[in-house]
Amino acid sequence: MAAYLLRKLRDTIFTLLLVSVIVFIIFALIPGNPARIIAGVNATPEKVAFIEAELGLDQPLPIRFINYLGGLLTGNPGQSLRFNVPVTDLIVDAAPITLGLAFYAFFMVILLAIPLGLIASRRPGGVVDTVIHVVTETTLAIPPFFMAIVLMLLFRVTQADVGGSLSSGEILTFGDHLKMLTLPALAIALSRLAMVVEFLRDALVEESHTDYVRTAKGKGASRMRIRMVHVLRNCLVPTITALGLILAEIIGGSIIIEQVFLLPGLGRLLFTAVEARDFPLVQTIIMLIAVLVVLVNFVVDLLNQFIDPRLRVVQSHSRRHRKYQPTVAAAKKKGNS
Amino acid sequence: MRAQCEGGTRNNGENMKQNMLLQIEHLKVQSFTGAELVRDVSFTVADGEIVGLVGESGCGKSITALTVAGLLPEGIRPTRGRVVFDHVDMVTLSRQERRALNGSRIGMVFQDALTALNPLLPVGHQIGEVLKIHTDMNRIERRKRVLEVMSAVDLPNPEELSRRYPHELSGGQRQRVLIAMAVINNPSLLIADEPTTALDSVVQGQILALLKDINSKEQVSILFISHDLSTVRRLCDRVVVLYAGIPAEIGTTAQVLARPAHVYTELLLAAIPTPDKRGQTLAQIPGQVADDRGPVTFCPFAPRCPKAISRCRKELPELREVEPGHWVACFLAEGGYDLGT
Ligand SMILES: Nc1ncnc2c1ncn2[C@@H]1O[C@H](COP(=O)(O)OP(=O)(O)O)[C@@H](O)[C@H]1O
Ligand SMILES: [Mg+2]
Repeated sequence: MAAYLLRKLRDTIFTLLLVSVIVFIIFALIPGNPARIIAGVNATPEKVAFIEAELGLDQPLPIRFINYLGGLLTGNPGQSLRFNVPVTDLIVDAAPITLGLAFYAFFMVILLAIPLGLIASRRPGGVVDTVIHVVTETTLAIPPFFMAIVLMLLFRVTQADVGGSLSSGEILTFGDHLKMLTLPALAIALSRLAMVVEFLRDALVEESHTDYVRTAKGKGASRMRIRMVHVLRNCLVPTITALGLILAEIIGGSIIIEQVFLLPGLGRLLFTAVEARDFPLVQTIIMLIAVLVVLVNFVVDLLNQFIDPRLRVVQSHSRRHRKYQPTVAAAKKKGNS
Repeated sequence: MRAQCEGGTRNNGENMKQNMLLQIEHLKVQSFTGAELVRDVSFTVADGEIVGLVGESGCGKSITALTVAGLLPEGIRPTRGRVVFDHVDMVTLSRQERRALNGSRIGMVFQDALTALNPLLPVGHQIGEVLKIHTDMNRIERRKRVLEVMSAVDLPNPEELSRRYPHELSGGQRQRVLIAMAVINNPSLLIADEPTTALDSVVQGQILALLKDINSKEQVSILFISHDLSTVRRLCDRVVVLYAGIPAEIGTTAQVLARPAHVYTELLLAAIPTPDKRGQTLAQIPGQVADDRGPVTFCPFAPRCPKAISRCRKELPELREVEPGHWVACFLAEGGYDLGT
């Protein structure tokens, strides 16, 4: 386990480093000088140069990168160029909204997908299965921002109802947040639901034709017991993996949806920051999201190992164990003689 | 109508009138396409008896066994005949009634023990599940009984092994786990579908010995399915040779293996590797079981039979008793065969 964690940590650090390099390079390549933006249209070249020096923008790229990375690692990614306040302050204000929205949507997906998958797989190809399929496919086809607008019209909610109250600086309770974020979260959740339902449903259908299900029937197990104790458990690994994959999409989705509902989250911050070429701010937001995605993948990994013993890496005979790649298909019936 | 053969055990000498635990009568099993996977199978299993069901792959052995256990895959069902278990016709049972029998009075052991076990649950848990379903034992009682039955099937170190997962066990151990599961509620009938096929010959021998042991100690009847006549020879009291969904020959193991009356049985026997045949190329029966599963009008083995006469391609031979308890469905059986009488 310790060796596994070390390896995981190494991979994580490498991934994050790569992300920061890529974002840095992209930022170095896109046109637009933050010093000029700050100085204003009519500023003299001297003034622009002065601001550049103040921001450290006159340094060669590798030095700028190292300075920046050092700042990130020490928890001080620097001042925002645009807002002239510490980047961390801005993020601490905005992140809870975006991440709250994302995780709210994520849990909605889980809460909706599991029952829907279970119901749809009861009679594959039946009426219920078909209806669920068509409806989730439809919600998949509708872009989340449009879905958000439809939901607002449907529930007679205005943008001001959702985002307006936040901007006014009132102090809100957790309950208020939940109420406020329900529609935006639903808009995101609906757009991501189809994939998870389909995944779970297909896995459930496939797993219910496996040999161990036949064994369970041979024991006299009830349909309910077979589904809940045997089949569902075997579908969790692919489903959790799918959920891990969509979380990044959901975070991306909430950045868009924030605009529709006028929520002052990371999305709004990010747009402003990119416009102003506010490099420290952009880099920090992207890194935050990257860390989250990596973290989620790690949790997915741990969860899957908890569920499936074949994925557990036992030091003593890890070689033998890693051979197993249990997918939905792997447990499939091998040719029966 | 094909000949009845319920009297198939009457040669058993001293105990003349045995109770028939399982009677299969003219069983036909069809898929939703109409294909006859099992065409007309009749045989019996008496109390405490081990009956072997043999034949090449695709003969319908598994389908027959699954019909008895009520575990046929979707779209496949018995369309004719009866499967009488302890005086009850299984075909007419409701799902609930079936469930009450499976795992308690009928135990089932499958071939591929790796896929037959749930990969995500410890084996002890999976054995104990049978008790959970059929008894009202509490957790401690169940655990005690699980360990008991695990040692009864010669699983080493039950305490430790019960917490392990299927992939952490050897093939032989997994097979023993399946057997433990099947016998934990002291069933009357154990159905074992090729339980030794995936195992090497040493472990195969151990599993056969275990089945024999369970049979003699617990008086469990066993329906043992194999494509390998040599395992049947070591274990079974009687043998049913199946070909293309129809019994070719039925009799005691001694009768069928020492004095085969059907050309198919004879060829199957010739294909068994034995020490004295070492070095020779094994006799193979040319061709394979026909995939065509339409209704049969003549002997299904005729197309592959080296001795077939024209009658074999015109008529379907019925099971005839060629000596007490020895039944055969072959026109050639009486002619040139030494039946040891
Ligand atoms: N699930 C299934 N669906 C359709 N046909 C099947 C199925 N399982 C087996 N069969 C067919 O039924 C016949 C008998 O198969 P089976 O009983 O498995 O043979 P075996 O004697 O090897 O156990 C074969 O022709 C096989 O192709
Ligand atoms: Mg078979």
